[in-house]
Amino acid sequence: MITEGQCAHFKTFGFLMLKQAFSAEEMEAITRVYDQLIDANDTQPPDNEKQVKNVAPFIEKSPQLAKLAEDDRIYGTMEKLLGPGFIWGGSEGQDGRASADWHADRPGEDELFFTRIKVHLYLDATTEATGALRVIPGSHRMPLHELLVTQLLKYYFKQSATEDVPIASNALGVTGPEMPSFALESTPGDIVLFNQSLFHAVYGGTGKQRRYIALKFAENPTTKKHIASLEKWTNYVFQPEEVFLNSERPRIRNMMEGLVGARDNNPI
Amino acid sequence: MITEGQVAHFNTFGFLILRNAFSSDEMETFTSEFETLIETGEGNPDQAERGVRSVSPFIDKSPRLTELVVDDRIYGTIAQLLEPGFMWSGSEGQRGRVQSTWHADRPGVEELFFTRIKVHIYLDHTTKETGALRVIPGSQRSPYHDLLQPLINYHFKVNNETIPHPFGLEGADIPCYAVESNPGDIVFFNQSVMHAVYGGLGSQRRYIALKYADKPVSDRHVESLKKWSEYALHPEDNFLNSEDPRIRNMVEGLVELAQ
Repeated sequence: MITEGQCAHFKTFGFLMLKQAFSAEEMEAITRVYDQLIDANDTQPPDNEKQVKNVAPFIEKSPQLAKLAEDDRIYGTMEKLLGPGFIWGGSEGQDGRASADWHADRPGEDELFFTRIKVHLYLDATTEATGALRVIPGSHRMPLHELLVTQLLKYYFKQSATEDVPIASNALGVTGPEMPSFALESTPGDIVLFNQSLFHAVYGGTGKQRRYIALKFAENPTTKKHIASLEKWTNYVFQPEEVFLNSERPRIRNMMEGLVGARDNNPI
Repeated sequence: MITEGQVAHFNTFGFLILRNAFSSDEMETFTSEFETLIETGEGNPDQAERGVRSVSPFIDKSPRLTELVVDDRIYGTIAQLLEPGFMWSGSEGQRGRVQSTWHADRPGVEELFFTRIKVHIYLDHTTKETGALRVIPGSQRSPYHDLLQPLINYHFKVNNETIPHPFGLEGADIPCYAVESNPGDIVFFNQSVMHAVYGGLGSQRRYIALKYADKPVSDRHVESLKKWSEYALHPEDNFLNSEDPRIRNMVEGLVELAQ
């Protein structure tokens, strides 16, 4: 159960870290399954430029990892941050990635009315210089959000994201790695969670040794705008994996019911 | 002349750093002048209790340091960041200070309508853990500024043990950006941006501060000046009588405003 102070932290800064939420034994078991799943399901061509392996959906493929979606430390935190009726937004496993320039997953003023949270469990230690998630605290709110959309996203969508091309340079007089930000340095066992409208980036990744599992959640979609936004950015959430759709686990069922009911009740 | 990107940086995040703006020879001169003034100037007794030597006004007593006020690298930058007709708002010299908890110099929503900029020239290398200015980028604007009010409450009641640490964190752990600097750098920040210092360098954390403000054009501006920096309405004689056009522009009309 997170504290009121932690809730205020998330709402104010747009992210939260729960240090050492999982034990070393738990992380060892999670990592073992992760490696098996990545190796068995990665479909990236061996010459892919970014040297990134990405598998989505991910945890749904393993009964052991699927439990993370309903684990008190994650699900309980989502209940506090998203309120009743929140929905499942999918999962992914990722290995690699040298850099990702500044962006928000759900950018623009129109998206700020609908909170979506991404939860990262890093399987390797990360530091600011070696692939830690960097965030611009408070950038999930206006007017900072819009100022950054104007200044940064035109570069993000125009050029490729590699360490050799500091795409944010000239936008705010600094390169991407120099952008004023806060690095969420983590060690295995920590839970990193962030509002998907928050501006974030990664620089100086360490190749294969930057592994993480991501779980996504969204607040209860109650309007046509919510549904339209889900369809725009993550249409896949409306086709959850059978194992979740037919789950008899109460927490999973709750998240599925919110999802199915929302679209039925708010046809576009 | 700063770039459009740098102006946008200041407007977005509430601060700006110009790297290596001054040469090592210039910094040597400034440091020498600083040491003389900090020893001979009248120290602030409240600050002295905290092991800090603070002298204000400061640069007005040194012709060489007074040149900083109108130096292109500072005055020219301020001219791009503030509206035309901006005013001089005083100076200070400071040596020491281990920590300063999170605060804004001009806190509260009602202050955000009137931009004031503080310029720091650090005479020693600073890092996040050794006295660098820490800022919360973008906190000079509402509603972010208002959400951070718990930090202000804590700052002004710091000795009241019933006030819990805001956001469940020690001050040193609040998410921020550390404006680490080397001698020769110039740090500009909006005085409504939340900032703090942790882990100072003791006597080796020395800086010269210069302050500027938008032209006060309303009663609210004047009231705010009187509340936070009455001294700004009473510049030193050598500024009031200066023949330097830039200084004259900045102090013109201030005495009348005070009345």
